[in-house]
Amino acid sequence: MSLYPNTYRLLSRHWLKRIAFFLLGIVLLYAPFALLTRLVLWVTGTPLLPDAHRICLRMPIQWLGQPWMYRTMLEQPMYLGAVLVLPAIALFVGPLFCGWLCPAGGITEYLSRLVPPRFQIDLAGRINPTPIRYGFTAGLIVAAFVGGNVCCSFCNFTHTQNLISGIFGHTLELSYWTSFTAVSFVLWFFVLGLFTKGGRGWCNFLCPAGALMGLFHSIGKAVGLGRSVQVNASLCRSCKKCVSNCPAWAISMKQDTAQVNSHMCNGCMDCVKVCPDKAISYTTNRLPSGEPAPAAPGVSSGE
Amino acid sequence: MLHHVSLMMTRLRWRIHAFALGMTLALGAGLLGQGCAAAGQ
Repeated sequence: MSLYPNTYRLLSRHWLKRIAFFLLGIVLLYAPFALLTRLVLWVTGTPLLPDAHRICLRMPIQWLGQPWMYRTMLEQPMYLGAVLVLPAIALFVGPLFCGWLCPAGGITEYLSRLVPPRFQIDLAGRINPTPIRYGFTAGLIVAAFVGGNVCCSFCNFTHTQNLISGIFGHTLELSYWTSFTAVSFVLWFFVLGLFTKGGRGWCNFLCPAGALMGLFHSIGKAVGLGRSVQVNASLCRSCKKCVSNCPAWAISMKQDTAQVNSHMCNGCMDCVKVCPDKAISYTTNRLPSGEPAPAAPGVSSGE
Repeated sequence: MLHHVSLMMTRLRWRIHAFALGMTLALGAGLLGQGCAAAGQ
């Protein structure tokens, strides 16, 4: 900190910007506001309750194993919106939804900054959560076919909506927290949230939406499509500020150079802002041969 | 060379185990959730 006096100020401004987007996410996605959901329901003329369930990514996964729900998916195609749109966005620009809009990840990330680090588990750089998260997502898909119920009682997205609705007077939503829902709430909010460094332990280990977007983001990077967070090895001086500031535990050191794991990166850009040597940037992907990638639709090239 | 192969196998084993752990967690949670739902909880 003493070496780089501007770092904290830059990051603070960056955090404020992210908090503004996080509040926007609440207004767009969650009841009692759910402005985006209301707009889609109004445009499509769908008589459904405007709340976070309309953009749920897990329900369609569970319905794959419930043939009687196929008709619902055909009649209400907006249920497939999240499954199709979010990975498509991640393919070209990365999982920016996770790092900038998702209130469920944002709420624990920001609140975890209020908890003294000595009370927090620090897993950054010690464990690679990628295979666990992919395994969990695969398990959700398999569970759907063997009669498992993987929906709301395990969903941090629903828990956050219950919190928001409760704050705005819909206290009945809080009565939803019974039995196993309360257990998963404690695991998400306290164990893997407030008391885990970065506050995104649930996202990093257990979020199927994040896994799906991380998969598409890494595919985009591998084939040279779109943009991603990248490290210029010649500028990196191994200060490890990015490693300790990444809430997604996506950065590790390899041969004294920071490396970004595109399966885990959530596009929050904290590392870009905190790097004192400007070695990390959010830039256009290139093919492994070094050839410039073909321009992605709607994405400008360069910084 | 052998050292590299051994290291690679160790990493692969960790990834397979971690994947299986995640999958088991999801299946366990799914079946537990089904049980809770059936019990009205």
